[in-house]
Amino acid sequence: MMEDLEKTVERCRSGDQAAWAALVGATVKPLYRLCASFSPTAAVAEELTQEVYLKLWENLDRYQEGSSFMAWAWRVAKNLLIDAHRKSRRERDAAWLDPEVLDRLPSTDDPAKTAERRQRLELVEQGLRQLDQELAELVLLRDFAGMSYSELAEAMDLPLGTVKSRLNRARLDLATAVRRRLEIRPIRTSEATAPGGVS
Amino acid sequence: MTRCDDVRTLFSAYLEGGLADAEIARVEEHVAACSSCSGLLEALRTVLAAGADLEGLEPPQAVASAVSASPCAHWLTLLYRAVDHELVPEALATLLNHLEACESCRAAWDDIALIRQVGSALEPPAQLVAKCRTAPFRRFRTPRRVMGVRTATAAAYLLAIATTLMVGNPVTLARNEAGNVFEKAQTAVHHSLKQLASDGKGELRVMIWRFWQWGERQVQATRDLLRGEDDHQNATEKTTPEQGGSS
Repeated sequence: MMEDLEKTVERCRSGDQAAWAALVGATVKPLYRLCASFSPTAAVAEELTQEVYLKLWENLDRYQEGSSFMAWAWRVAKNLLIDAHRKSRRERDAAWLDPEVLDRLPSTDDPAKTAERRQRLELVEQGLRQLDQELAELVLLRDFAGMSYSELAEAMDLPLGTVKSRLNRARLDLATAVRRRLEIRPIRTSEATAPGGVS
Repeated sequence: MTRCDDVRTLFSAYLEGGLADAEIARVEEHVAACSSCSGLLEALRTVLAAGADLEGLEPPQAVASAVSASPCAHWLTLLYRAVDHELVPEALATLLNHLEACESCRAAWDDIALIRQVGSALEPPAQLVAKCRTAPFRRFRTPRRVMGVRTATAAAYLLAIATTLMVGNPVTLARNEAGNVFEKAQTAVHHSLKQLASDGKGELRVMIWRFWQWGERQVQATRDLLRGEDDHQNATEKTTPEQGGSS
């Protein structure tokens, strides 16, 4: 996958439109999730996605072969995303995972499951507000944009072990905030959660 | 580090399936006995499940199409920035590579460049620029007119008529006023010279006396002259009674 992306980037540099389309196709989903996580509205998420791709294209020559494209994309788009997030917080006290963005999630057949999912995401969004910016970013990159630990380490320019320990701390802080809210208003689950791993 | 903190460092790896069997057993044994860690692990499951929920979030088709199917739309934006010299050299080089390969973008580039050239050609004439440069200074040098010549003449006539009606003939007034002043001056000079002639000594007294006599004659001559003019004017007014308004 990495080698394919590298070759695709190389073709993009020479102005190949088909290569650009292939690159976007391979990366648009996680990047859109990332943009949506930082945006106050669905419309802003769309604008932000396009701005991020424009910025990626402008900086395409700075991408170094052998490095992770997603890590590089995060480094390039980081200021854009963080600025957009800060602006939205100033203007309308919005945080991550705005309800308007969550409305874009595909609905399930079971209304109870849809409501449960909605409640869960809102709980996490409220918990994210209480986290430090850097810790919240780690959770968003790993758990919402789906970046791997190695991509995170490269994006943050940190050793892998440090990334793992920081992410664990960020998750525990978030879980503590979520737990307090769960004690006040527990989620009505449609079925018992299986012990052990995550589905 | 307490036992709880020790176990909690393993929670992420436990939920992501990254622990060995012995560590899994250790976590589960502790959680079964510790309600605090059990609650925290449950909350952490909620967090990770929320992340998994978001995996279903797909970009709208319009966005995916805008950023992938027509990259030229982005490059057209860059064309404008390139014309304005706002692109970094690397991006400009990539853009030029694309222009070589893309006919539509090349046509757009030609159009934009033409618009810029036309804009540059529309420069103001040198004569107009020179006028604009000197206009403020000219304005300062030229005295400003308060009123036109005709308006000033009309105002002067009106002022003269109003003065005549309200105060009297200015010439007569001036003459009368001059007479009064003349009488006062004559009396003062007469008194002073007479004093000097009587109190002075030797040749100085004779000189002052002569000067006084000469002055007396001059004053009398001037008085006769003025009296003669007044008599003439009174005689003229009497001969034309139909015109005779008070002065």
